[in-house]
Amino acid sequence: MLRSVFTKTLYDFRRQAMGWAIGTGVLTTWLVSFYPIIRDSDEMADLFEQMPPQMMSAFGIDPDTILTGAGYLSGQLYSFMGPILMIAFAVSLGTAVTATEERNNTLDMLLAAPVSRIRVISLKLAASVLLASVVPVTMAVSLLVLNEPVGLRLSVVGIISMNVALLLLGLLFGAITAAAGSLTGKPGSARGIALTLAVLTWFASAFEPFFDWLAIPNQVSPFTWYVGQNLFLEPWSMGLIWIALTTMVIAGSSIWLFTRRDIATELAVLPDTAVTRRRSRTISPRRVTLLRSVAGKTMWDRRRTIFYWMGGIASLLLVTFAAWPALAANAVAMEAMVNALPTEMFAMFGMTNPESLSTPEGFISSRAYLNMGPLIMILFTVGGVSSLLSKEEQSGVLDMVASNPLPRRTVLLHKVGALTLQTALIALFLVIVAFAGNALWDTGLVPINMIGANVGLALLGLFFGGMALAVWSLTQSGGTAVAITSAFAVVTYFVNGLGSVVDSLAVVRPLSPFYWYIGDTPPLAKGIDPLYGLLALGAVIGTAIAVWRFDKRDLAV
Amino acid sequence: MAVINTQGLTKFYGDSPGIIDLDLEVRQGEIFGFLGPNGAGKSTTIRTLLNFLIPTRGSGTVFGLDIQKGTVDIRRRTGYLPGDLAMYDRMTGREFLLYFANLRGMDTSKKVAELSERFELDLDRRIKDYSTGNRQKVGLVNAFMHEPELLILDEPTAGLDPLMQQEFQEMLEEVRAEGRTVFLSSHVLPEVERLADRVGIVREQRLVTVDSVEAFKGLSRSTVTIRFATVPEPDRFSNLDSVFDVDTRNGGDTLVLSVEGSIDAVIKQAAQCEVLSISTRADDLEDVFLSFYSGASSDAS
Repeated sequence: MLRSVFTKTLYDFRRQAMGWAIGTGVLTTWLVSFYPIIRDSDEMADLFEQMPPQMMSAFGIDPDTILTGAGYLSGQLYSFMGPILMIAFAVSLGTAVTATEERNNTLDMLLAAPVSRIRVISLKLAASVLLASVVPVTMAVSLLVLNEPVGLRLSVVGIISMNVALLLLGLLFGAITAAAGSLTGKPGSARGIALTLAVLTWFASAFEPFFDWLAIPNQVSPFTWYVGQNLFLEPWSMGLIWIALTTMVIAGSSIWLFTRRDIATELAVLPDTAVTRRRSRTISPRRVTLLRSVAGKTMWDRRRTIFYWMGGIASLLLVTFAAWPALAANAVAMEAMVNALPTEMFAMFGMTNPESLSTPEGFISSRAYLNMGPLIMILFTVGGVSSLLSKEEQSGVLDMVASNPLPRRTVLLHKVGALTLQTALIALFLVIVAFAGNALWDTGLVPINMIGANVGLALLGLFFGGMALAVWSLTQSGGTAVAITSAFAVVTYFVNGLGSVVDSLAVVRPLSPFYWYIGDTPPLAKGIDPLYGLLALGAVIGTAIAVWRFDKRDLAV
Repeated sequence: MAVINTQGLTKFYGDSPGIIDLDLEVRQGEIFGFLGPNGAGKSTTIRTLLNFLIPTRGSGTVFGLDIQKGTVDIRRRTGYLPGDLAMYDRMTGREFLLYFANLRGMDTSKKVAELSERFELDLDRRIKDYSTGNRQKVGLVNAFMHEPELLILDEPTAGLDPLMQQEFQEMLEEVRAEGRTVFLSSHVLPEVERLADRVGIVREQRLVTVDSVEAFKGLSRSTVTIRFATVPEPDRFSNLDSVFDVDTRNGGDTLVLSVEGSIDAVIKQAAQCEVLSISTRADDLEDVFLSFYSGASSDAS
């Protein structure tokens, strides 16, 4: 596998590609398995008739075809989740073409070999195309297998066409990433440029029915070319040619830019810019008051990124508040939908009390506090443990810290304390946003409930952070800690959700931290639940194990 | 007085040994050179002394304090430069040093200014933008800035240019003059030869020998080349105790002798014949160390 740049690229991504294939396959199967329920329910048909058409189009739903396999899949899989998966993978592949290697300084080594730059980048691009196709190929194979048994009634040509389109969409943004990487040499910038373009063009395409000024951006958005027609039903589209041509032009420019680039400096050498500027520049000390202790330094590290995390969950929360009035106006349709769908389906999304969806507490919890919110919060705390401790141990910088006259447990407790403070700050910000949303959209939530839900969310995050900490200190491996904690989180999430409908799981359900957090009541409806104490206790126990173990073990070599 | 003292200090990583039965004494005010090939156990020893690693058996003291129980006090009085230098890449050099000074609860700004001027180091750049040599300088400033009683330096001159190496050597000599102690792990043998008072050599996880640099030099061999007017009998020299290798050149009238220790016996033997020319070259310390590294004369001590 290490014979050429091409095979080496495949080799580097072998695990990731496997992960994406499994994820895509599971998602496709999971979504397809709901299709018969939707198709056979009269209430769903009524619901779609009552929903405002602009809202439907924003979510890629075509009321005429939604109840057919082609309509359901293009709406549920290919207009939103599919492109997200595809573009995320393509962008990570595009970043790795040159930018990641340039940042890691391995590009110098690679280019020192007697291989031309054109050959290096061309082979990497080619391997990336092959790797990216893992996502649409898995979807196509899953659909071909499930087509008959589930009664999707898709044509083979339609399945191929839809997935070719998805691949092309991904390759376009992958090529943009690669070109931005060739231009800037920075993985962060390359990723940022591509993802920003993806979000903006998606917005232009999806929200065109709402805003007149989006008419022209809508015309140039690749998403418009991509979703212009239902490719399952009409498998031929000029839009695909346009996406393919644009992709080739951009991929070509990424090659052209790369051949003219000064490796590991700030700017590409474009014909009219003679670059002599060095990338390092003078920086005065920043926020030095934070550098007084290990805890302060931990705050210093996230002095900017914490706002992204806050903003992420807060915008999710605000959008949910904003959506409530429209849903309240269609309360009848809402209730009809809740009654029409099996409780298992809600349970899969953590909604153990579907009836509450027609109340503001239930609805807002369902979007912000039952799935996405906990996911982001757990990523924050577990990711924090990983970057603060395990990655520092791995890189060796923890040696430098440990050579100072501080007991190890002080270092650990400072870091944990700072992470707790950061989590608390996010929760505090969410409380403020909730109060604002409540006032703006008149959802009539009780203050103690808004506080309680965010306390619960923060403690849930800290519980898993504490667990990751304990596993890391015992195994000395950050990767193992993240893997075990994530697996535990996923399993206990479903134990709580499905435990509410499946009798055999009911016994273990009270052991799930998600049961302590959610139970049978939406977090926004129950104030400060005494069971939150168990989450706090778990976080403390995890930390205590880590302190006890960390004090008397070897720092990694 | 011993600053570092270990008795049977042993560290195993699972089944594989890091360092075995280390008995080491480093005295106050000396520069102790700690030498050995890659993977011999140098870094393991250092990281055990700093309690980053817990000894499997044996014990050790630094400043008379137990390396495990007294570790915080030991570290307060010690400056450390890791061999595999990792730092917070997004901080600037100044921020980094400020943070570490704060962790010591000290204001080191004056000393930092002095040291960075000495090293010609611009502190207001991101560490990730520094060259290898500049990173090393930040590491050195961090080790020196609190004027510790003991400096533990792992490959300190890696990446430094010759001018900076010289500056660094002068700094170490100043440290010694002030009665402070240096534990120096290095591969740069001329540097150790010039600086160190005593040298310890580890090979395959064991301390092979400890001696003064002068004593090592006494062990050194020399090459004596003698041109005779007539071809001498070869046995004349190869029978001498101090000669362990004889090479003939020029059809036998020139002998190249490898001599250990004094060349007195060789000169006296040669004087019995007509000598046209004679030259001697002393092997340097490097050759001695190399022979220890490879194990060729591990019994020489």
